[in-house]
Amino acid sequence: MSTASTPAIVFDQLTKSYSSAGDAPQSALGPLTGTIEQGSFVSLVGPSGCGKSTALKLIAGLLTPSSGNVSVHAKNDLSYVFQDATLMPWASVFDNVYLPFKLAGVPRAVIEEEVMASLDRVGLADRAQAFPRELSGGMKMRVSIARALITDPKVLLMDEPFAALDEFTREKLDDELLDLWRAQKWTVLFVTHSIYESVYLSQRVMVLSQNPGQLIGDVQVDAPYPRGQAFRESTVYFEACRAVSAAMRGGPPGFSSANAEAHSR
Amino acid sequence: MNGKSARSHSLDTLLIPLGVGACVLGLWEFLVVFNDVPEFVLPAPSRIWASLLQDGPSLLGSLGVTLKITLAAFFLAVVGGVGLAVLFSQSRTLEMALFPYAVILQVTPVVAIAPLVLIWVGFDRTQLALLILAWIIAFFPILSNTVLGLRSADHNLRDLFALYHASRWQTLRHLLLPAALPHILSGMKVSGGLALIGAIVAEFVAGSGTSAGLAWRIIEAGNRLQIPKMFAALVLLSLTGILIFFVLTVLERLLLRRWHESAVIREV
Ligand SMILES: Nc1ncnc2c1ncn2[C@@H]1O[C@H](COP(=O)(O)OP(=O)(O)O)[C@@H](O)[C@H]1O
Ligand SMILES: [Mg+2]
Repeated sequence: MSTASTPAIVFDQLTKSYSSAGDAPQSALGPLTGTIEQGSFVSLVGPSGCGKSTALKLIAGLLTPSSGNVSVHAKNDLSYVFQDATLMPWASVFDNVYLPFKLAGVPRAVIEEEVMASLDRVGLADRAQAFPRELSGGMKMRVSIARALITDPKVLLMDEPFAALDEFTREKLDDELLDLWRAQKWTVLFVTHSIYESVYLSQRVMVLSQNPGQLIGDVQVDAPYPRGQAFRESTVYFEACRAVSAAMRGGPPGFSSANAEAHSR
Repeated sequence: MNGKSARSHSLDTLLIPLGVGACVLGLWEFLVVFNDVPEFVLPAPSRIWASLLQDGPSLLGSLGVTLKITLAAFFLAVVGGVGLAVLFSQSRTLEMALFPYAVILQVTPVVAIAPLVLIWVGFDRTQLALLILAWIIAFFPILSNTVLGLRSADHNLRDLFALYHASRWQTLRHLLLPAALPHILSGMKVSGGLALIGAIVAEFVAGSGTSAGLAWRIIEAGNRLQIPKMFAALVLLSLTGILIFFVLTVLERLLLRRWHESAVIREV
């Protein structure tokens, strides 16, 4: 990648613990150290509850670190996509996508074309006046992506965006997402618990351990885009899946988190 | 079932209760006439109907007075309940400080405080006393439902609003209030009926010859043993209650039609 040398997100001994009333604080993430390059597509995988969502919220500034810190190159050009589409059920598809600009005080008329263009990119221009409950799960997710992209972000954080969808729809949206990414080259941090999805999508897969989440694997996927069915049957794909899976199970002999960190630098 | 039965189903929900009503009225009429029940114990439906025709105009006038208090109390309950709930949503301290008193106001029987309210506002301002009492009864469901509703907004949406640097006002206007709307509306449905009950009960306890509402007419008719007229007043009262509920249900359907599950009419 041409911009591969500039960091977009830098973790520095980042940790987060939650304290629920009465109990001692529970460590949920970290310490996490590493760098994510600008314009790269990186996946974050790990078992449920290992702190993936926590990591994304720390990056977005929705949570404050318990110690260490995370710096984002373009803090204000950051978009977030949640697992459920997180649309306002009382607003039309158009109004949901318009939301970021509405909150920024941009009049509807000024931005209307851009909203429609953004909907067009995800193939939903003809459903602008529909309401979320009239859409399928996959369509809702597309609206959510259109909303995330309309602000022209530099960094896109996606928290298990397609986890609730059926496999067929998920693979379709994976491909659509890759097409959009190749055209725009935002930095993507994609959280998933599917090893296959992470390898198919990304240039690099970061593996977190059971909680508190620590980096226990960092796998490069050296395959060109566009990736298709052929890639799913390739050796690179298999090897990468095996490496991620091995890391999740605790890694091959001699593999430690220190190694993984060294590799990620 | 299919589309045809969806329509006949909604017709059934109207026809079946009406049929039951007709049967009960018929039986009632028959029993009263057959057993020669005196009018001041239980008037026959036909007698009530006659009274409704005869006293209707003057009863409607009284109903107007009651309705005015009901609607004013309801309106103020909505404004006050939603307003206070919004304040609570902005300040946890305020909620902690005031919510217990709202509960106290709610659990105190209105009958018990009616005389006190009457003394405070002055005996010459009965209408105001009635309004306050009806408001006390109607206010709480709106408050508690709105408080609940304002808390019900999706957490990810809240995060999203924070991410886009939404102001407090924007979050309230575009997220918290719309999310609370279904709760507010169901609170309104409860509260609308309660406002009417409140207006009547308050008039029973605090009303006097100077108040000209429907409750007073019921008392008056009772004192004079004009039982058919009493029943006629009761019929008007029930119809008013049903009308209020119906209007609020229609309002709810209209406002939530396109987005909320509760307003979706599914074909069974
Ligand atoms: N707001 C919170 N309060 C307390 N504990 C939390 C909170 N959010 C998450 N946790 C805990 O932190 C851990 C990591 O959560 P999360 O980041 O959501 O994991 P993941 O997204 O990987 O499933 C879990 O054990 C979870 O129970
Ligand atoms: Mg999660």
